[in-house]
Amino acid sequence: MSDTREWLFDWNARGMLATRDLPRALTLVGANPGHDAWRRFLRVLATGAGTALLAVGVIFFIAFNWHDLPQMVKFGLVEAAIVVAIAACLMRGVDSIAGIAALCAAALLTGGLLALVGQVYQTGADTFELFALWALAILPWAVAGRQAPLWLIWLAIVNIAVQAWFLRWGMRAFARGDGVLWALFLVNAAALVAWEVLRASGVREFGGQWSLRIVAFASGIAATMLGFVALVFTGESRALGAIAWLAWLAAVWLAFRVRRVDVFVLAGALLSVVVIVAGFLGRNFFASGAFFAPLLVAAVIIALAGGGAVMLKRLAQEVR
Amino acid sequence: MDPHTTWRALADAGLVNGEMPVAAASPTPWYLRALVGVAAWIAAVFVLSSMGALVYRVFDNAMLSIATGAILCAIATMLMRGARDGGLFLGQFGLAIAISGETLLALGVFTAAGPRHGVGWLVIAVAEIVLLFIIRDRTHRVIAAFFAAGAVYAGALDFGPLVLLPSLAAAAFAVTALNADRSAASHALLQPASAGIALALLLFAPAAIILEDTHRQVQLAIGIGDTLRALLAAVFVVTVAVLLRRARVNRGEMTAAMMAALILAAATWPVPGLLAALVVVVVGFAMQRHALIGTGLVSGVAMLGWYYFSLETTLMIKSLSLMAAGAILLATGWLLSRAAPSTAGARNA
Repeated sequence: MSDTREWLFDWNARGMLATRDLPRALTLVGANPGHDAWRRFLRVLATGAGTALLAVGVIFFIAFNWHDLPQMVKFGLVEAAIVVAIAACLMRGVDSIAGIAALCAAALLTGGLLALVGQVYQTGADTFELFALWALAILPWAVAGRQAPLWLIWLAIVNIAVQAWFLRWGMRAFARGDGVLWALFLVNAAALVAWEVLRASGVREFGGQWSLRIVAFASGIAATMLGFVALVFTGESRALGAIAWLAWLAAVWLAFRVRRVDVFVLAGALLSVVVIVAGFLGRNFFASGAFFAPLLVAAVIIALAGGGAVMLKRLAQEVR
Repeated sequence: MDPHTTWRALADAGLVNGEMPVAAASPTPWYLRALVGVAAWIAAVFVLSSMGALVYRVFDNAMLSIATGAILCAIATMLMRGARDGGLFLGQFGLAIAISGETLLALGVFTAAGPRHGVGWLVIAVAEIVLLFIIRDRTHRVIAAFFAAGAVYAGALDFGPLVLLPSLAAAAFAVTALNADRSAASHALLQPASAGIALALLLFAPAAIILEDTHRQVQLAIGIGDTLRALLAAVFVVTVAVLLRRARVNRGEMTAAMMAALILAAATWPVPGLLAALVVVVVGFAMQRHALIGTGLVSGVAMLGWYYFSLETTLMIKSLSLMAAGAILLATGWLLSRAAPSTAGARNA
């Protein structure tokens, strides 16, 4: 919701802009999308969603596990789809909407091809190996293609690979059972640091605001889960998790408040603080049995979130 | 565009007169309102815990629950009246009290309704709609609309017309969102209400579809799932038609776009949740509400994930329908890229 719309409604509420003139005013100041904006939006939506549906459709086709279809035909189908996607990307240009969509489709189809290898040859490979190989296979495309959506797909595949590894092998292997939380935290925190450093260095594909925010969101979820387990479930026995969460908070503050301002990321960090403080105080205060203890916790949450939101709103107005 | 430039543009067009008034407080970004809303939920859990300890049998006695809930809602209304000019701190406090009060109200009504769960849920839905009008806080309106839609959904589980809900919710969302720009008053009420309905739609439409599949196998007549799909497709097509009319496109563009919408609705027939997500995405763009667009896209991806595991049809049928929908969308994208940019770029949409 743009500020411009809000100003128009404010002036309408004060009787300075007639209600009958609102639609015209909204269009005049560009608060409603014009013809060309609609065309561009629909083109991006149709091309992006169409490519995704086509790629997912091919993967479903392979997953159908045809017995009557010769193996070579199966491989040929998926490989041909990858070649077509790459050719489309090269023909339309990797920076065009169609090019980006085609490159992402090729990346998704590569996963389908690897799954097909596992299906046909029954290699005994587990889910971790599939996703790890997939991430490795599309890494050169991500580097060469220089597109944020492809890097986000790559990061999602790495996250799944890490989870799959811990589900299969690592539950007890690392950090007393919460290894998967540590691994996800380290992967996503490293991704956030790398993304921000590359953005600051002017690397084009990492310059988008929302792609960085998605990575920050993933890193925040992982950090909060780690901190929550450390501080709420087990107390001081997992102090390292709490230290890691505090370090993440400090890093976010430095990067997104001191060096530059991103209120969205700061709001996420504040929510992380609210969740963990609520859990920590709730766990300790409930044990007291006093009826007012939960009220105190509620008051702390309201003070933290309300006060923090007021400060962040002021900050957002300053940087606007 | 800053407020002064905006005012000048309107004055030049003869839509406003005189000097620009002192600017109102800037709107709170959606993610800060989301933060306040989530924190209020957490705080409400603790407020409710205190109520349980403070008021004897407040959770067991229906009348006591309703009375305590009503008192908390009244306190919240007064608090949020004081916080009307964007006062986040007081608003946050009021929101936590309101959520606690509404939970107690719902608990009381549900206890009083006894085995007539459906009636209980519908009374809760009506109470939420009343609170939607009374409590003017924007974040609360999102939550109240979400609660109301959720209560209608839960009530329908008892009454049976589950099949109607996704399409009704989609239609309610489109109607509220597209009418939110009529005036400042409708904007204040319908803009947050439509966001709450959209969240309920994206959460409950897939749930309704999955439950409908399960129900169909055990008790309902075959074909009811197709009714659900047809109704949702109808809402999608009508929404597209309304948006095209608002955009004042010419007859040729109108025909082509309607054909594409119809074919898309047919191709995504097996995945009706996708159409619900698409309704949210296109209306979100028309109203320039980026959070809705993002939520709709995420929901669409989630629906595809569910579709893979759905037992309703074979992977072969799923594959073909997805490829068909993908091909139609790609063809549409290609046609749009061939069309020359409009010279009347500022034309209304």
